[in-house]
Amino acid sequence: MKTVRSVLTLLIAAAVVPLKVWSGAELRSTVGTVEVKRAGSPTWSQGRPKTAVNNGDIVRTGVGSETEIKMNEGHKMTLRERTSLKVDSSQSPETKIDLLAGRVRTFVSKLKRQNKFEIKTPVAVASIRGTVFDLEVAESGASRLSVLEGVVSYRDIAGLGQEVQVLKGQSVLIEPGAAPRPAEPLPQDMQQGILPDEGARTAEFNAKAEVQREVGMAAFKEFFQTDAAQEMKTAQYQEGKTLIDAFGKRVRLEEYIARPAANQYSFVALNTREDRTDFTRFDLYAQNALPENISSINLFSGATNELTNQNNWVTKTHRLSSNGGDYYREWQDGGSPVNMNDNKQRVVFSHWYVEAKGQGAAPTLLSHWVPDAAYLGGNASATKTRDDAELQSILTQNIPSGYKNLGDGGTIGDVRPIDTAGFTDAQRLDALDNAAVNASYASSEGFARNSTVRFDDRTIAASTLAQILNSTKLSRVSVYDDPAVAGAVNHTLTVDQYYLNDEGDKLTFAQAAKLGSSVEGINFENVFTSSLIGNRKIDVVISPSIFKKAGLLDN
Amino acid sequence: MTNRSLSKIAAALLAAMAPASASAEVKWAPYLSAEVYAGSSKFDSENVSGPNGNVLFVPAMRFGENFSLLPSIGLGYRKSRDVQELAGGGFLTQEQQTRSLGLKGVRNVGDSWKAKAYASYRQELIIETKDESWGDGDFDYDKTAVGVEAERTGSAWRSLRFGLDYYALAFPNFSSLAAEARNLGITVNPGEDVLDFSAVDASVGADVQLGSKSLLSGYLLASSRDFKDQKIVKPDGTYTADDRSDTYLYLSAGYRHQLPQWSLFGLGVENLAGVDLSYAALDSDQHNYDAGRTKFNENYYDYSEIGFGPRVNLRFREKLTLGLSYMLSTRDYADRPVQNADGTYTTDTISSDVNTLRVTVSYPLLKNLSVEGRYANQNADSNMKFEQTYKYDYSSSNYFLGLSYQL
Repeated sequence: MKTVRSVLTLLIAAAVVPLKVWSGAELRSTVGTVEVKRAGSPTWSQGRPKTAVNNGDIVRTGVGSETEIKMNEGHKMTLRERTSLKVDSSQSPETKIDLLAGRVRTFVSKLKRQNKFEIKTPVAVASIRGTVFDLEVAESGASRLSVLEGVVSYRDIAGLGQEVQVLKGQSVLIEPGAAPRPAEPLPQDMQQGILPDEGARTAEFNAKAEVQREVGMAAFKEFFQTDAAQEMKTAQYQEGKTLIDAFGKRVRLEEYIARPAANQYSFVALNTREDRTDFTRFDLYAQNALPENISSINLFSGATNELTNQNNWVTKTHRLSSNGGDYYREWQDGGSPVNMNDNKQRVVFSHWYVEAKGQGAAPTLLSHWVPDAAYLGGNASATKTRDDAELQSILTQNIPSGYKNLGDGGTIGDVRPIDTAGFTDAQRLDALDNAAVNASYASSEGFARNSTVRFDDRTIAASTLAQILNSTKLSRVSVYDDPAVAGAVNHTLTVDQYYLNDEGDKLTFAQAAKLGSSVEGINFENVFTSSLIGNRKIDVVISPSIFKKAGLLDN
Repeated sequence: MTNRSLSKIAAALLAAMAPASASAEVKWAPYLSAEVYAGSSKFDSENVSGPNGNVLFVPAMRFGENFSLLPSIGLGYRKSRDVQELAGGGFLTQEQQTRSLGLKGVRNVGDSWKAKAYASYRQELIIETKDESWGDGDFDYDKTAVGVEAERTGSAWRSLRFGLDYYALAFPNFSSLAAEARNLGITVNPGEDVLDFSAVDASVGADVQLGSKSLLSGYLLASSRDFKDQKIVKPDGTYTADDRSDTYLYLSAGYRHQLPQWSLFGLGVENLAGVDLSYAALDSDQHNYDAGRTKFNENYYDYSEIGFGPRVNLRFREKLTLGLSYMLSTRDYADRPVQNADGTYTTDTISSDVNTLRVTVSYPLLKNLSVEGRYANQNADSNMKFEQTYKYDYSSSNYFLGLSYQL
């Protein structure tokens, strides 16, 4: 019997416990951040549908959040965003709510005579009997009651004024330390009894949250797509295809290799700026077929201090720089290795030409150099001085080491000008492969050249060594004199040279000198101007390593 | 596929999703986001200061219970850049404008599923140097995209998404200089519109609720990218007739957990902590030929990248929020060789580490209006020593202060 009683007790207890839960209140719907702090607990926990709300608990909603509390007698309270309320008592006969902040809409079921429903704010108390109303607390504590259905008793907590009966369609404000203000009419839509549809409001709220969510997801996808665009741009920078020139302008640089024939190698560097395109094309012809990787061979000289027979060498070169209309070009012909007396083989060319041409004008052969007899005979130092005046002599040389003007010994320019009438521009550009054109050039003489070298626009004589080392611009100003006209200056040609990195920072010559024989990683900008091209510019930036490897930068 | 074709596809998809009854009531749910910031970016020892701002307006419409239409229009301007964009490039970018238009349809299918389709257009204009003006930047681009998505929402699996997207990127002012080279008699054919490509992205995303306080998110993206006119380079520096094709893979996982509230100087502090993990890989059939150094670099673009980092968000008294995140990402190129400082190639392959720290602070001033501050610092370290064309070792940072409005 005792056992039976114990079982019954347990069953009754089990039945009562859930009844105790149902006797309070619980959250129904939740949107966004809804949290509950239990009575006596210092922490907040997430509020979800069916979360019980007991006496002493505090419920709060975050920004853009909303929840509904349903009480055992059917009363419902909708907490708007950023609302906080404490449930003092959720059970009959006295339901008491402490609205701490924010706004609630309350639906109070019809109350039994002995029952009471009361909401308190920091400054006011609203007592209700079966009604629908809004109660809102500002940060100052000021509390506005708007009655939509029924009647609500409303008084200030300090007892400064009389309790007022707020009727359907009225709104009363109580400010801190003040009696209730006179009742005001509700806004027109409420006056007409058109209550905002709670379902519609929730739908509106959900719709906005949904829009925000979709916007966020779209931004996430957009990230991957725009990141792909960013990668394309980054690759251009990583490959050095975009750089800044010596004048702060952005240059796109593309360099291409072509192999027109087994023994031929072509290189083109193209520059585009906002308003112009410049390029340099370099062609190299070898005696024999070239390997795939030409960087490993030297076609211009044999191994240092070793007289070895070169099994392949350069026979012709052609370098042309142009702005699309004007051009400057140098080309060499008849290259063959010569055993030099410094125990080394070196390629000597039988002809070396320099020409300039303005757009629409005839070309002018500025220089035609041929090898000096001593150099051709193997005297490596015959014309290459290495004395104390080395720097000045090399910089101001009027002809390349080892060469002389065609016509030296006679009068330069005797056999000038070249035949410009008999050939087209295209034929002349093809001088290396066109025998007739080649013959015409081979018999034509250039001008006598007088060069001045300037560092940052100062002559060598006007510069100290420190100024030279700290300069960033090297200019060769050449005057081509026509000996047939005494005292006359025929043509000028200025070539400005800069070493710079991809961000347009110019290297001083001291910095450039530290690079030694390596020119990897720097750019070389050549700016040609000449009276022959109307003093327009041909401005080309290249990666010079290809020319270094081809031996051209030694000349 | 042309932009016109894309527009037709998008229109057809959206029409198919629209409600059968034209009389469905239209309800508006407009969304507006506007941000204005002033700030400064620092890359190594250089600084750039200026304003940034953007606005996005989505006048969303709801037709009945099951169909929503979200048109969108966005505008943006930036003078100061984010650390992510500063990577490697010094301060070439000076100003940037973005303009975007979009239209998205969302249709409820049953209780749990949603079908979505969208079409969007985005234009980005970039001024990089003193001699450029709006509209003629080399790296200006247009992006046109269409896509569909199926999403299932629920309680434990809060979201499960399957997406298929197509987009085309065009750089209208950028083409290779091959045509000019051909005019010089040199036959090279690297292609002309070498940066333009189109992509098909397939993706799966999921958010899973773990208990009452934790959320696990995952995302998988596979992208196939076909270049419109970028020929594949051969070992001798010449080009094949085939166009480049890439495959990109991205996989990420994120975990968020709400920690117990604690007190700091009497202020209730709420915490949300998390960790992110990601993996990305690019596989390209393109190579690189360094004409300046006559060096062929096979599989130059292929890489894999791993990212890892924690984050925490703190909220004080429901108002002041503080976000902290850190990310370490390591990118390893499969075959791209390391170069010494003078540019000579070595046999090692490039590996780069990037550390990024971000701090955000936000405080609501008025309803929908917040004041926000952002700070980011990024440090990169690499075994690549050749930095004449691109910085691999650098330190960059930025900070912004401004207002954010969301309606």
